[in-house]
This record gives sequence, structure tokens and C-alpha cells, in this order.
Amino acid sequence: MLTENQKSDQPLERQIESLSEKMVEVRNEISKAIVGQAEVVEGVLIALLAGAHVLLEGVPGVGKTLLVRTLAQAVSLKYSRIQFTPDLMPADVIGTSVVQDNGDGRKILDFQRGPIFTNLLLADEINRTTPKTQSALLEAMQEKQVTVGHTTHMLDEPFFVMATQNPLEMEGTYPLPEAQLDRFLFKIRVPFPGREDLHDILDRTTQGAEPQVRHVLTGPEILEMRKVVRMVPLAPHVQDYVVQLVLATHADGHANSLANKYIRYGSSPRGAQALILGGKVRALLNGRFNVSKEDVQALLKPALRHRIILNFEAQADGRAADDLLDEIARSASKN
Amino acid sequence: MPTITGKKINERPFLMADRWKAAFGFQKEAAVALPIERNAHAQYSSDLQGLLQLVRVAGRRALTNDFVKRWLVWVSWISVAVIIAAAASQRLAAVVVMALVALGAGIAVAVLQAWSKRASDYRVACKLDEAARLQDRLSTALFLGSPENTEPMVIQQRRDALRWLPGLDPKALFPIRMPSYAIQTLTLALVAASLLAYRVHFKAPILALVQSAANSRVEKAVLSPLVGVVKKDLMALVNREPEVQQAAADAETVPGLPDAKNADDPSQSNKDGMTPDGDWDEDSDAASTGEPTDVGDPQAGDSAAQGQGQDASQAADAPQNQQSADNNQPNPGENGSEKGSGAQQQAGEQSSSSNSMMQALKNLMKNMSGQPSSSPGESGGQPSAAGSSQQAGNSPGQRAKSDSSKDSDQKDTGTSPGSKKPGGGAGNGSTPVPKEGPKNAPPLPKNTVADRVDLEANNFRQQGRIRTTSAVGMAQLPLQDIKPQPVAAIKGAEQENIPVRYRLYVQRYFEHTTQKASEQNSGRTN
Repeated sequence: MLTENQKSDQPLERQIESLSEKMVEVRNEISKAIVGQAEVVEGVLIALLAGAHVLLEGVPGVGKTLLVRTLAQAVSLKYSRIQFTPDLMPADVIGTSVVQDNGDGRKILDFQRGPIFTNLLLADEINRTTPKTQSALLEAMQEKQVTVGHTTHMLDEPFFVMATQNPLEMEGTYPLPEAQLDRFLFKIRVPFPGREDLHDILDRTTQGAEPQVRHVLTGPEILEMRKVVRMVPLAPHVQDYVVQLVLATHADGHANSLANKYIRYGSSPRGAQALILGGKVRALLNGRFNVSKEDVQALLKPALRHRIILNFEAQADGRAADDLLDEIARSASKN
Repeated sequence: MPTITGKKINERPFLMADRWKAAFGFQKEAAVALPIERNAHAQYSSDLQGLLQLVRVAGRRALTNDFVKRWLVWVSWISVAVIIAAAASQRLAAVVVMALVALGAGIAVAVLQAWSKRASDYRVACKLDEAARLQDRLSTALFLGSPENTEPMVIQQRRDALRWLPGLDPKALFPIRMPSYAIQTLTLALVAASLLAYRVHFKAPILALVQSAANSRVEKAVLSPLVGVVKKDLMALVNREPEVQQAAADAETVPGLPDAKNADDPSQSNKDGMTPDGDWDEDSDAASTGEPTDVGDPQAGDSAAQGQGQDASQAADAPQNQQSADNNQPNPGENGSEKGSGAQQQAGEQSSSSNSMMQALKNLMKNMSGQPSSSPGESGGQPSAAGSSQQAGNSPGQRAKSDSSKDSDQKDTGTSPGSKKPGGGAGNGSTPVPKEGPKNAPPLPKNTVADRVDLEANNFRQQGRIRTTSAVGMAQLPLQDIKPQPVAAIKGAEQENIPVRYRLYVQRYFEHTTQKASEQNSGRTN
């Protein structure tokens, strides 16, 4: 069987095997520093391989920043961190032109690159800065470039933004605009660790030295994996399922009664792209070569929870986006 | 080889009501969602032959299940049709033949429907994926199964899908089973078969029921009052002139009776103690048993007779009775002077006839609606063709009060509005009647009830043989033909200390009646 095609697909097969092995190694390295949080780690890796960005939301002290730092160490990428504050300016993120002496007595404007010029950017507490500064990330996140004055500067690949925000301390914060939120492939909620995990955290962090994380993945390897991921086939009925889900978030004829009642605006097409791209990565990580409905269902909440805007009635009734997405998934499965 | 754990499809609970709906095709069973079909290839790679065979086996089993579901819906409808036809139709053979033809046609239609809506290989693969929890491996492989599709990732995916084939058992994943509503359909079929077996030996149940209902006594009991009333009115119309003449002759030949022609009527109407329509007269029965009734009032007695078994007191107390009594009873003080007025009598006859017809129809409607009959017009108004203007003062009961027959007077006053007027019910201008409860009224002979319809004795007996069932508002079953017993009545009157004058009156009355009847019989024999 498959004798005529065996030669041609050997490189791909090796690539896929390598991808799986590398991902296992990355997980192992991250698990040295991060206790538990398997879903969070998987979501971050999926976003990394899908070529998109992640917004981590959780209370302080659950390991958001540590996760990003550990991942940066494991993938051997250039890493920078921006602590977003209310007085942070866009130039502090992107960079600015400064007058410099070129050596022969002439003064020239030289662009000093900001911390955004990196591979792995940690935007810590991104909701504490003004929308003006938040918007400075828009172009970088979508087009992987930065425009200052009349000059456009390309960002290094892979460019991966991991932002964090605290859902509790909302005073003095600036909630991210919808356009900014839509740039994130996933919004991953970092839960508070469980009893066993908490014991493990205490053992690791209060005894002995900090764990040493090895570099197991390089930037070029990540880029190669991103190409492989996009080759994963998708059956039409799975794609139709994704379309149904995204349409069901819009308060019109496609939505169910709960969505019509509580959702002010549904997901953008980027939500469907996130579902399919994430599904492809997840399928490869699980040793499959096709996207299934299970992949889509598993990624429904992180991919769409920040893309649907609830109305006042939902807030008054205490309805969360996750509840509505569960209901949408159930109704879509019945159809 | 990976292990496969099968998954039951249609695990959603199916309620009983939903099953009945599904048995008639009104509700679909929970089914696997059918995906959109796009770019499905008719040609598949040779690598996928094993997968194709598996999918087609599963497809055939799914087709069989679909056919069974559709045909059971047909069977449900055919069973219902057979039940109805077998219950209502006399042609059992035709029903059976039509049922067999319909079953055959249902098979053909179900096959055609199932075949025309059969799932494609891709859709069957989707079902197979869902049943075997293969995470869309088979369907994706089949969708990308074109021989020209040689992309490395597609090859890898195809290889991955084929790895799972040996563990798949389409018979286990797609068992041929009856739908959930098969019990309901089977129940209907059994009922239909049972009914057919019943029909082999018996008539159609609905037809038998209709026939028995048509012949039932209830229906006759309902219709008999109308027949009796109509017959009576027709007889009255035919015989009204001889009756008037006869009444005038009687008035002349019976001295001592102020109004002898009215005395004819009671003798006839109560000759057998039966109503003219053959129903048992409760009043007469009550009178014979000594119960207090309004028999002292001819209207009341007659109304009871016409009222299809209503109590005489109720009938006489009813407003219509009063109204008709008012209409038909002129001022009692004028009785003596007007009774010979032929023109007025003629008008009274016509109006009485029409009134009697209307009243008969009203009574019928009331009987049909279960209301108690109050047929005063039949009693007071209807027979008053000749004697309506004479009735108030001429009835024996009313006349009796002038002879200190207080009881009868009290009855009259209690039942007839006209008698409440000063001297109205006295007939002979007697004193006003004191009111007293009807319970104190002595039982008077039933024969004193006046009826102006001249019925022949033969007809009377024939009508009396019609037996009807007892019911509320209905006529009572006649137990026997009761002939007038003047002697007994007179003796009974003596026991009740009836004055001599009244006893004489009654005696003459029955003598007159007997004589008249014998004359009529002799005339017929001649």
C-alpha cells in the first residue's frame, strides 16, 4: 500500500515526527517551571505554531509571566518584556528616532528600536496602558511590521506576542478595544492551581535552586512547523461546522435563542481562522493528520470568548461568554 | 492497531409522544447531522478500496434501517385505515384486499424513498467516523481520496485512516434494528388484525352501533311525544265540528251540569288513564294511588298528560300554563252567556289548533334538551277549541268549589291564574278560594280531567300498547290498559266525603261517557 507515494512523503513524515518530538520536549521543559496548567501550555504552543498571539488572563501569582519566560527559554528566541503602565507611550514600545552624531560631525536621525523588535514579546498587564499605546501593537501583531514616520520596519520572524491582564483590578485600567482583542488568536484563562499543584509549586519554589530550562526549539524550526501545520487537510463537513459555530455567535437568524438574547456582536472571521488553524496544530500534536470536530470544540472557548461582545442584559444576568459558547456548541452539534 | 470503541447513535431520549408522532412520520428520530457534500469524488484511489467496501456495507445497512423506518410509517397509516374501514364498512374482503395492496405499495414507495435519499459514501463515512469515534479520519480520507491527490500530507492522512480499518465492524456499528416507534406501529397493526378477525364472524361494529341506536327505545321515547301530539292535533282538527255539536247536545241532555260538553272531554282523555300519545299518565297514576295532584283542574290534568310524564302540579304551575290558561279562559262570569257563541268558538278553535301545534313543537324541543315540559297550552289552550271559553267555569273541579269542595278549589286557584281572580275560578260565581297547599288536596278521579280531543277508544288502546322506557322528562311505560272505573271512583269519592252533588255529577258524567262510547261503538259496528 502507498508504495507509489512513500518516497515523496518521507521528508514530510520526518518533519511531522520531528514536530511531535519537539513539542513534547518543549512541554517537558516548560513543566520544569510551570506546575500543571496543561491546557494553558497547550494553548500557548498551539498559538506559537499557528503564528498568532495569545492573551493570558488570570489573577496575579498564577504563573503567567513565568510561563512566557520559560517558553522563551525553551524555544531559544529573543525575548523582551514590556510592563504596561498608564504613562507608557507608543514610542516606548515601538521605538523612536533620536538625533545622533554619525562620526563626521553631522547629525542624523537614527531609529532606536523599541522592545517590540523581538521574537517573543511579553506585554505584561496590557490593559493598564492607554488605548493609544495599546494601538501601537496593532500593526506589529497583524502585519509583523512597525511604521515610524515614513519608514516601515519589519519585525523578526517568528514574532509572538503574549499579553497578560488581570481580571480583578479593573480600576485604572483600559480594557482592550475589540480590534486589539481580535488580534489575539486565543484568550486563555489561567486558572488558580489545584491542591496538588499548589503543593508542587511550593516544593519547587521554596526548596533548592530554580530549574534550568534547556533550549529545545529554534526560531527556524518553528517557522518550518508553521508551514507543515497549514498543510493539514480539512474535511468540508468540519469546515462547515466551524462556519456554523461562528455564524451562531451572531444575533441573527443563525444564532440560537440564547445568543440572540445576550450577544451584541459575534465573532469576526478571524475567529473561524483561529478555530481551523488551531485545530490543525492540535491535530498534529495529537498525532493526527486531519482536523476533526473534536479539535474545533476543544478550541471553541479560547478562540471565540474574546471575540463576542455581550450586551448589557448578559452582564446583568451574569452570563459569561463561555456559557454562551457552550450552548452554541450544543446547538451546533444537534444540527 | 488502534482500539475502537463503538458509540451508539441516537442516544438522545425519545419520549412516548414523540414515538407516536414518529410512527406516523410527523417527527423524525434524532439522527446524525448530515454534512454538506462538496467535491465528493466518484473515483477513489486504489488505496481506499478497503475503506470503500466498509463504507458501502455500512451504507447498505443504513439504507435498510431507513427503509424499515419509512415502511413502518406506512404500516401505521395503513393500520389506522384498516381499523376505520373494518369498523365501518360491510365489505370485509375489499378492506383486506385494499390493505394488502396498500402494504405492497408502501413497500415499493419506501424502497424508492430510501433509495432516492440514500446517503453518499462520504456521508456514510461521516456516520462511521461518529459511530467509531475516529475523529473524522475516514471521511477526510474519502474526501481527499482522489487518485490525483498525492500531496504528502494527504497520503499521510490516508495512511492514518487506513490504519483504523481492521478494527471496524460495520455490523456492530450499524446494526439493523427496528426504530423506536416500532412498538406503536405493531400495536396498531395488531389492533387492525384483531378487528379483521372479529369482522369474520360479526358485523361492522360502527354499523351495528348505528342500527341499534336507530332502533333504541330511547329514540322512540324521544320521538313518541311529537307523534302523539301531532296525531292528537290532527284528530282534533278533523273532529272539531262534530265535537262541538256533540258537546252542545250533551249540554242539553245532561241537566244539572252547567257545562256538559266539557264533561265529554275528560271522559275521553282519561278513559284509559293514558295520554293520547300512548304514554302513561303520571297524574292518573298519582290519582289512583291517592297522591295529591291537580286533577281537580282539567287543564292541569291534561297538561300532565301532554307534558310527557311531568308532574301535574309542575305543569300546571308553569308560567306557560298560566299564560295559556289566561288566554284561553275568558272571564268566568261570561261563561254562561258566551258558550253558545259560534263565531267565538270558531276563532278559538283555530287559535287553539295553531297553539297546540306550536306547543307540541316546543315540548319536543324541551324534551330533546332535557328540560321539564310545561305544556299548559296543550292542556288548557289546546283542547279549548270549543270549550276554551267555557273551560274555566265548566270544569268539574272548578265547579266543585261552589259546593264547598275546598280542596279542589284550592287546587284550581293554585294552578290557574284565572281562578285567582275574584270569582274567576268559581265558574258559578262562588266565593274566592282560599289558598292551601296542594298536599291537602284529596285524590280526585282522574276521569275528571277534561280533554277536548275526541279520540276513539280503539285508537286509544292501540296507542296505549306502545311501550316506552322511563326517563327524565320522558313518557312512562304503560303497564296496562286502564279502563274508566266510575264505580270505584265514586266509591273513592264517598270515602273522601265528597258531597252528594258532586257524586251525582260524577255518576252522570260516567253514565254519559259510557253511553256515548257505546253509541259510537254501535255506530261503527253498524
